[in-house]
Amino acid sequence: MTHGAAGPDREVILVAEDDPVTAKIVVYRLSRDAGMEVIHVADGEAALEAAAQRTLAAAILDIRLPGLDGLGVLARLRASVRHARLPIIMLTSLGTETDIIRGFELGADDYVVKPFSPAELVARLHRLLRRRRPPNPA
Amino acid sequence: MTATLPLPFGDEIFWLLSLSIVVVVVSAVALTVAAVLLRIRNNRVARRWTALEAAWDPVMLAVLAGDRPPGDLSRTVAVADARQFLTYLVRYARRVKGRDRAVLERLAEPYLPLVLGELRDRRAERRAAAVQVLGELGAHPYRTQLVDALDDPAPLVVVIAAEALARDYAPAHAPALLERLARLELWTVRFLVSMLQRMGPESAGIFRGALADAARPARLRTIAANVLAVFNDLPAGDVAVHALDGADDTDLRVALIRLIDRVGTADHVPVLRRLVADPVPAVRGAAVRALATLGGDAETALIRRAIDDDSHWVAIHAVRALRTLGRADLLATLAAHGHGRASAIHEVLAPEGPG
Repeated sequence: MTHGAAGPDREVILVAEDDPVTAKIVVYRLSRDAGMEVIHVADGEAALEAAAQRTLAAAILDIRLPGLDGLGVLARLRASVRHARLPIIMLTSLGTETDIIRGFELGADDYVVKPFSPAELVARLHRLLRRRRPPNPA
Repeated sequence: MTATLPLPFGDEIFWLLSLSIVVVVVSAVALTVAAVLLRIRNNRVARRWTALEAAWDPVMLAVLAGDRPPGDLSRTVAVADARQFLTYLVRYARRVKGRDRAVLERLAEPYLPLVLGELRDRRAERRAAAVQVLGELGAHPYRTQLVDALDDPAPLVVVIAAEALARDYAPAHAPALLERLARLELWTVRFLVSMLQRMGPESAGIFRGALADAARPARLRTIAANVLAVFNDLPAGDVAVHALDGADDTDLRVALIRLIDRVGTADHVPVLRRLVADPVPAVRGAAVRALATLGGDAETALIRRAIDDDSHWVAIHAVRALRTLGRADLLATLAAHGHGRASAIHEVLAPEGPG
């Protein structure tokens, strides 16, 4: 499901999260940002499909997704040239140190532990997006 | 001429039987109608709650983001819906922290006294729900009620109260929390460790104290050792070595060795060397791994010998320990010469798949 007005200049953010409440919070926070269009999916296969259809600026992946999990999606995205440098943040639960390490090994750029601060998540996403953009000519 | 045979029972019995059948049929119909009506009522309540939450959602998201004041949401909550509103707030509170959580606590504050009566309900699930609401939305102001709930006869209520107190850690209540852990036998050590680690590293002294106290139950000390390992609590290394003296519970001893593995120093290597000869395979296996971490290359020969251990479990640990030491060459040589544990070596050396 797409949130926020679509437009040619908008950065498309993929949110793969199966928990409806968490998804609502994340999607709202990102959609209120004027420069973002948010695509929300609730499982791994749908995330890959969305990534294949749209040009993404970044992705936020929950590790515990039904079917293909977030780490599986991450591995598949990193295996493709198109998404090799896509900024990706993993959402993970407290106490899953192994998942966090595995996420970094597979090429995640950052992770946020649940319960999470939505403001912190948005800030981390902006930081990654800024790093990806070419610097403005002086 | 036909003769009428007399019935073997009188008219009274016939009518009594008929009446009984009628009563059974009427009761069955009444029960069915009652079940249908109850279902209709429940569906209506569920639909109403869904509609309420759908109306609250957009305002809630805007309030949490700071786009609208909390009062905009509170104004939409009717007195009759206040309890449902608390349940709704809990759903959000479980997922967020920081400013968002503070906003949820502020929204809940006027309604929390509503659940105090439920703490005395005869049904354990009602009491558990009340403790959950207080724990998620008012752990600090209602800490006394949460501590009292640790003595509830139902373990479910105890674990929910313990979870809330662990999250809203206060040193004064930590001992009470640890004392009640013995009542939570239904929950795994892993779950309890995950719950208690929320108390944060500042609570490490409490767990060190529990670990050092040999009079405490072995399960409690095992949990304490695991929590200290999560905290990477360096002073716990010496405590763990002392705790090994006299500890005879296998789970506790393995937890202590893993703790030493995590936070110990080279000073603890002699203890680990002794444990490599322990009669319990799980203890030997954990000791071999810790020896590789703390002893380094100097322990290669001892770890190499552990590959010949009678226990496959210990041998696997020894192979992994040698890999940790970067001795894949030694392992490959052993496998190439047809060592009895060649299959285990191949298994450990095999590159991991993409997962």
